[in-house]
Amino acid sequence: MIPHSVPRVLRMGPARLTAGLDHTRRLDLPAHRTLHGDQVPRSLDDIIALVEEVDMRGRGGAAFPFARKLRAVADAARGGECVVLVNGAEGEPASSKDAMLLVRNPHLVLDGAVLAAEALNAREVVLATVEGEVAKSSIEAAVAERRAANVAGAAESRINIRVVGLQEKFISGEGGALVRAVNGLEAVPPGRKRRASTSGVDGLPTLLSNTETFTQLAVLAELGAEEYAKVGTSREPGTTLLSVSGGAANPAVVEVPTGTPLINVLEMCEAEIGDGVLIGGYHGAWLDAETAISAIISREGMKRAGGSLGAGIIVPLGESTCSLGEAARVAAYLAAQSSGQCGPCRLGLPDVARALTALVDGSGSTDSIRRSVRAVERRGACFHPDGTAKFVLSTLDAFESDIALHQEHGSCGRPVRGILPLPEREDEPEYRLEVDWTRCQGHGLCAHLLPEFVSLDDYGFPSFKTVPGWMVKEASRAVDMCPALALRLAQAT
Amino acid sequence: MLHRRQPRHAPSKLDSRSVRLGASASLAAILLSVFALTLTDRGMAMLGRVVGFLEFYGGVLALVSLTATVALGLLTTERVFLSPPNRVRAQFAHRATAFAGMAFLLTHISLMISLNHVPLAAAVVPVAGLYVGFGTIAFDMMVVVAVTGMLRGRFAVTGRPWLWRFMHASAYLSWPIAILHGLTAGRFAASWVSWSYMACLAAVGSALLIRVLATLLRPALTPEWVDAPEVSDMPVAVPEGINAPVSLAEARRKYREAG
Repeated sequence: MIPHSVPRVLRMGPARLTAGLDHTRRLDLPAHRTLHGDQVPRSLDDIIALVEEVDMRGRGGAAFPFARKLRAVADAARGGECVVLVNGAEGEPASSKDAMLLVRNPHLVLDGAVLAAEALNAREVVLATVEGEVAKSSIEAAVAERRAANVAGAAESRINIRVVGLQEKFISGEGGALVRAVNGLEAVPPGRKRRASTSGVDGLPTLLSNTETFTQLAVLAELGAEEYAKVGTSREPGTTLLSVSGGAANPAVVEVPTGTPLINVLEMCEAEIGDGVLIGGYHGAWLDAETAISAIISREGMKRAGGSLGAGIIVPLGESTCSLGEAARVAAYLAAQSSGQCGPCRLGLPDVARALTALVDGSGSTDSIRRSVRAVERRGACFHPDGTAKFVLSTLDAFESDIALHQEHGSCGRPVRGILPLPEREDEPEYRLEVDWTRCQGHGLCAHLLPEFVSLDDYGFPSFKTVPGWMVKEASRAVDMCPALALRLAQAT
Repeated sequence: MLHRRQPRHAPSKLDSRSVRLGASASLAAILLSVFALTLTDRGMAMLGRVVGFLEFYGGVLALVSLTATVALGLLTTERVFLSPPNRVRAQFAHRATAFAGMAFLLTHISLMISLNHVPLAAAVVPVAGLYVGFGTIAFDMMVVVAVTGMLRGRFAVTGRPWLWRFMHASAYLSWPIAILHGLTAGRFAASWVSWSYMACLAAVGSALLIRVLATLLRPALTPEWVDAPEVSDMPVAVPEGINAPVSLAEARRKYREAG
């Protein structure tokens, strides 16, 4: 398959994950094999040794040592069944590296996953990605290509590969939520944490990691540790993928060796720093202009600059937009993305977002934000409240002068342009109650059943408000119970 | 302020998968426990006692619950008896007793057939004599009543509420026939039982009569005439000073004269 449009790719230094993508939109199996050669199965000890030599970490944001994960799965399986789960549902609106890899270079992802699966003697490879996107059809086509090649006599691995489509939500990329979704449950983080390496897909030990991790594993196995470590810093060798978007005139997924200055990447993407750069996605932190100029792309370098590289998301803000307003939009989005399971998160995050919005029009104060942030921090089953708290606190620190401006004048004079990418807000269905006035006798049972949405006039006849989607059950009960059979429920247009 | 009862992402509908699972699991549990009981002699004896009880009292329980259902249904339609909140509660109770009554009725019928008291066809067609036949006819009508009760919301949408009323009101016919069946078929009823059924019949019958009469005798709903100013052909007689130009001095003088 050849996708119609694909995420753009840029690079500095050697082409590894993005090799061959300059000339084609998608590498199919023959092109992939010509470029990367046939896959050689490795033993588990071999792979662990390789991975440890370059200290490979998970690329989904948490940077967990991949060798420890491999060993934990192998120990938990103890020769029994296990599963390899590739997390291709990034959920972060500003990230596009997973989509890029799955759309343009799916066979490298599969190579890495299959390599790990064969070494672990896994039952299957499960690839979880967003339902209804090009990425899913691309990876499904890649699986079909491999099957077809085997029929034609090639020696591709015959391990079972299953592609699972998920609803895209911010929270669906969280490991626990992903495992639950793959198991056919609702994609929300579990209340009690269980490591995927001991009990994941179908309760089996599961090697769960991000798409890029498996791609890096394939490249590492192909090049060997020495060649792999030729670029990048000595402590974090190799390359990394960055998703640059936002105020960049030339947004792209960029492959850079670690140790590259951030400013070079931004220049390549024709981005101006403006008020600051958001590093690590919407659970990340802002770097102000001065720090951003001297920051280095690596986990260590970013930590020194006061941020964290996370999943490699870089969003420069530019100068033309109201930075505080942009942050408030993101906070509102994050609040709406709570799965609603934990009370402090469900009720507290909207308050944080409201406090931040109040600051934008000058009526709020930083103290009230800090107070509402304290009510949600570390009070949830997953990282969502913490990550949101981190983002909001970092906003307060990074845009101090801006905040002073807003508090004094009610605005910084710049409009909110929507530089930070956010998915469009879905409209919730609304319903309205219709009444057949010739039948209505003013019994008033509907007003008793739906006191918030039906009011009776002086004669005892009802007038209705629009009923939100989450009240539809009560509304249809009122329809059922109307003694005059005069009520109807219709979708509001 | 209103609070969301459901979190935004949780589906508000009942999770049909877990409902199905739960229903089939409980059904399997009941069947398995019955099966387990048949394995021992004591279990068989217990089972026999349960079946004997239901054979003896299933019909009575059904008749009592359906009597309550009819009474509650009548109570909830009229606004003279109850306040709106209590009418809503009465509707819930009406549904609950209807459900229980239908469950007892189905148990009663399936037991009577499986214990060979009546042939299979007697569940639908009155073939087993007059007295059992009453029960058959009452059951057939009660099925119509139950189905229309469950589909009530549909009738409000399709625009034929009178059809619903007509069909659901066959309960008022089915229920006395059921009482007749209860009093005539099977064992002889104690006199206090007969008397209480008669009392129920009389109470519901008179309430129903009042309802029908009230509907028939109610005057047609007509709009109201408001007494508007009457038309007359009197000559124009403008009192002095009404349309005169307002003079501040004159107004002050009038005010002073008035005190």
